[in-house]
Amino acid sequence: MSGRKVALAELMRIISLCQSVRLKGLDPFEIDVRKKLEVLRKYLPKWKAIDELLLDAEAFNELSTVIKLQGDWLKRQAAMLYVDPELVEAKLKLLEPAELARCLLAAWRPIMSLEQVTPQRLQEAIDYWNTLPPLRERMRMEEVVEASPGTVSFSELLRFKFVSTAELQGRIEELHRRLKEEARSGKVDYWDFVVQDTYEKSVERAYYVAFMISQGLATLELDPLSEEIYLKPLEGKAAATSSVPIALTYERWKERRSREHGRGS
Amino acid sequence: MAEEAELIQKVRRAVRLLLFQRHRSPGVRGWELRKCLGKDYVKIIELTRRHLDELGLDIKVVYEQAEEPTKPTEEQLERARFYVVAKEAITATEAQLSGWRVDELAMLAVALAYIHSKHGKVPRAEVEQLLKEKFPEWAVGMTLDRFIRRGYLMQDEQDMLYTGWKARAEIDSRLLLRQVMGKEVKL
Repeated sequence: MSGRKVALAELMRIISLCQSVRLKGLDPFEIDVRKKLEVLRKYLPKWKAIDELLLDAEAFNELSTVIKLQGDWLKRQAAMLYVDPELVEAKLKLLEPAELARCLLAAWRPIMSLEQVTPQRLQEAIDYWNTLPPLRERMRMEEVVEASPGTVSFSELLRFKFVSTAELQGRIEELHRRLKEEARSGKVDYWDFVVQDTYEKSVERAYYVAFMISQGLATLELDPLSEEIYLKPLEGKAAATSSVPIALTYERWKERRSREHGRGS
Repeated sequence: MAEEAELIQKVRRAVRLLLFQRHRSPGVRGWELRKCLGKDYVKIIELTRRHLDELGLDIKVVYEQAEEPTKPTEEQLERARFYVVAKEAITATEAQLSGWRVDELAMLAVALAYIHSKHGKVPRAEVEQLLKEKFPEWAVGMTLDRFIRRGYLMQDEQDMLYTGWKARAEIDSRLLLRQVMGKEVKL
């Protein structure tokens, strides 16, 4: 083994020795801290890599913990006027159970406490009992009414606090600004504007576009020959007078996306 | 006169707080006492101690740290737990009346004295080994687990045993060691 490897193994040994003293409650004076520090000093010039230096720092930290444990150990020994643990163990082995019980009784001052119901708690309990419905009422099955699936209107979404008016208006205004930017020639292809990276985002945008149109911030222009739909930004607040159903199916979205990709490549 | 009446009221309240068990474990935290008795709660507690003394009771303060501070700070007192304890030692008959068997008392004495002599921390296996010399193996593990459940001992993930909160509140470990070392051994 090279000298460097021997030194690293020595560091690891110091760390594990210190950790076993710390975790297992062994006598910290079993470790000759001075000697171990000399070892660390001897090997310090050898370390170049950051990992080696970190290991050296860890060993140093563990040794400082051992010094603290030695201090605590001395304080405890002074406080209990030092009794040799081996002597205590020998004494415990020799004493009869009845004698040991007497030792404990002499040093035992049990806690005194009361566990009883106060008149206030009793009153609370009576009140609770009086207002508690019978079990048969509490266990009664809730009646279930079958309802067919339906659609949720915007006013319901507002009522259930899924959407706030301010939030919706903010999004519409943001979309109106984008439409004006994109429609430099006065109008923009509806599908170019609505179709996004994902189907969900596209549906969301189509939803807001519908609101934009109904608020008079945009209008639709239909070309009956080419069947193309254009979106034109407006500034006025004239609400739409007619409605145009446009289905945004997943297949349609996919087709538009692939067409856009083809154009892009 | 009004001040005296107020003091008596506060002492009565302190006794109720200290004796009446509101949580799963008995005792009151210092901050709870301050909240109920006011900022000079330490003085009220001292006055309560004098009243309880006549009944053979005492107030024991158990601090969070293992070593009892010689001059506790306000923060240490607020985090400490205050208990009412018996002022004098109880007799073997009294202990038996409250459900303690002599074997259990002896086992607790051995476990605590051994832990204390080993600076407050010892592997459970060592305590078990020591107890098995005098008690049946099946009883040792079961009784140690019961001591842990009742708060007399504590065990960590490394299976090390420590003194529990209840032993710190109820048992004078230095006196226990003195008792053990002072007993004459019949050979």
